[in-house]
Amino acid sequence: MKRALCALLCALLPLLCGCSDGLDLSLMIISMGVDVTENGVVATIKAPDYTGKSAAGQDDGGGQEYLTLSAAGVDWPHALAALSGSTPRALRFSQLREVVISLDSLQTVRLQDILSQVGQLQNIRSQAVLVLCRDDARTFLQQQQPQIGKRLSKYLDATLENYDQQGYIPSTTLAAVLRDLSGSWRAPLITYASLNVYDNLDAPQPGQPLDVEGGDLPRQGASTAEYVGGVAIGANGDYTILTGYEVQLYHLIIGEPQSLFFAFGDRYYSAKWKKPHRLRIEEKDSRSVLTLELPVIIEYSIFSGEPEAGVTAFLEAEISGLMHKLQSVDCDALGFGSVAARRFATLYEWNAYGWHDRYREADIVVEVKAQMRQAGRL
Amino acid sequence: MNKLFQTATPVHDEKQSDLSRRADHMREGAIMLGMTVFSQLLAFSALYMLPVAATSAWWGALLLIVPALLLWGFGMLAARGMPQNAFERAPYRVIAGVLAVLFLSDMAVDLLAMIELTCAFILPGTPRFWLAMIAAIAVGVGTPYKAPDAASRTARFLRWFFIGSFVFCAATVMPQGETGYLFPWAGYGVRHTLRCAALGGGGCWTAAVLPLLSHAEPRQAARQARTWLPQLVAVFMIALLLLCCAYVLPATSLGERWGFVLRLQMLMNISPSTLAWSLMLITELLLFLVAFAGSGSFLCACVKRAAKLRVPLLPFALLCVPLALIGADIAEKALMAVLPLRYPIAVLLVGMILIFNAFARKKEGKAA
Repeated sequence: MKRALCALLCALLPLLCGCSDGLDLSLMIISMGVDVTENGVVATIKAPDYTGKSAAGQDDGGGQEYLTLSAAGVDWPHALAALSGSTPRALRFSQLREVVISLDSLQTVRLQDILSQVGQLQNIRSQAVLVLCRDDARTFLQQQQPQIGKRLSKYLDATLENYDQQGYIPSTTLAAVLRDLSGSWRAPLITYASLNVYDNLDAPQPGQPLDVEGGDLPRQGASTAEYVGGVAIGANGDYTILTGYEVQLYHLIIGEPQSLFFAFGDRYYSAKWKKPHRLRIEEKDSRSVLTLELPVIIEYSIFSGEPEAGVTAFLEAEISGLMHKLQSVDCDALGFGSVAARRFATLYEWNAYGWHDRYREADIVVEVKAQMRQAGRL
Repeated sequence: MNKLFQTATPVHDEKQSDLSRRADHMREGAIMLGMTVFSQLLAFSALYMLPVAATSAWWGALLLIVPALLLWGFGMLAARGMPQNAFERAPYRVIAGVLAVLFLSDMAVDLLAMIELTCAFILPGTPRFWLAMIAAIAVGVGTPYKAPDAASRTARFLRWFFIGSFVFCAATVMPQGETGYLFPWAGYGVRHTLRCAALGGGGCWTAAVLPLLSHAEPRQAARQARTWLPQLVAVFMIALLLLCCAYVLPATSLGERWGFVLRLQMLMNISPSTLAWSLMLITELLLFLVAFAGSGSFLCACVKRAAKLRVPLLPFALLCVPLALIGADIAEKALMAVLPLRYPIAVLLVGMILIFNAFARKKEGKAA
């Protein structure tokens, strides 16, 4: 018994490692930004200031408890070295919540190249969400403050999770983007964000709810950083920005989350995911035909009478529009590539098939199999 | 009530219990060898197969069943013809000595893999030398020569934990993957798949060992022990692990320049299920530790037969430390070149035993 007790106490010894001052000796980075221009790279980090007040002389964007530090270099290693050299604490990336990259950076360098360098940071948290931003990443991080609560890390976790669940953003992690960019089976959708400097309440043009990009929402509030929409990136680096509504359409197809609120005519409907979608590829006259079959339930309000004719065709047209938009930048976000790959025996044959060229020129067919249902009925 | 289950005579009962005790002992050894096979395949072959064979890696791993079972069969054949006091004779003792060297290579691989994993995930920045020394001393002291079965018993005790945690990890991680990553089925072609399977065969060399080391045991006990089963399970588990890895991460995104730890790190990072990968990491570390101790125990058993010496494990464990201190790249490259040769060496040894058996029979015939 005594031996067992001694063994147990010895086994618990490692738990005492928390009784050190290691936390105070390092800077836990919550957000990191990368801006690439023709002149070089600017690396920006946002980390908690343990003293609870802003350090003198630091540009912290008016925040009270977070430091925003930037450094420049001709390339990423130089910028990172300058940042490490000018920060009086060791940089720790294990608590990283988001990596913000300005969209302008993609004019100069490919996203893969930036991410492969960022991904090499020691102990970087690969589950950090990747965000592409309309503004400079540095400006974006300076403006970013927890709107609710005190901790930026928790605020970002909760915010991104909430928007992801609502379907407004794809919330793709750094590791997942790296994975999708390295293979030819599918392409990633990346979270889009922007600063809303307009701060107005002007009603937008009628259309679909949230059919805007981040930074253009008609709203007023304390925080100017908006996460709405996504960026579709193709294999050759072309990209296009998707609105919040388009990202919701994408989520309806993949089934996470499983509903979409949309307007048709002068009424509103809710499309709900019914079964997994099916992707088909056929060859017709040396062209590929990509078919998406999507079983959904369309709910309408009991108070507005029978649904209008053509609501299914409307949904088909909307999804088809989204797919054409993705196709225009060679972004196979739905994963037709993984279906096409099944027809080949070896990777050599698959590579010789030239999937990207075929995808760009393929015809698209969308078949929505809708079941109409009154809201609230089983 | 007990009388109902008693057989005709007490002598028969004693025989039966002796048989089951021997079978039990053999089963323990077989489980240990199964774990050794798994650790060897995991440390080099498994994650090496992913970038080389790509999407065909997982079913390529299943092909390892053929060489493993063939070697086990040959081993059984050779063991049946071995004289009762085989290891009293010089040729057989030389073979036991060669087996001891092969087990030493197993120990080095296990220690290297364990240290790589610990440095990468548990204690980054810790000097390799100290980690290797601590592991070697802990295993050496924890497996005294008075209790040579300690490692086998531990392996038997932990077997369901190992299988359970690998299955749990696979079940947790698989839904986050993409079915498309498993296609095209044949990867870089059948030639590459077979090449990888042949290289992986080096890890299965221990299939020949158990029949040889337990040749003096009664056949009935060997049949009861089902010594082939753990080897089969080891190969299936490797195939499952590769299937799981290929499912989560496109195999083509891992270039050949990726080392063992980097590959594992990438796979862990890709999957949002931190719990599953943490469990897998702990399981792998524990597995390498047990396999290190197990290979050491078998090494001691071989030395005992070869030199008629009861030696402790500690000096051999310490001998493996310099190997773990060589840079991982050099060690990995050197071992990758040497390890596949262990299968043909094992086949050669079994062949030699068959020849020695024939000579021994001829000699006995003449003497009669």
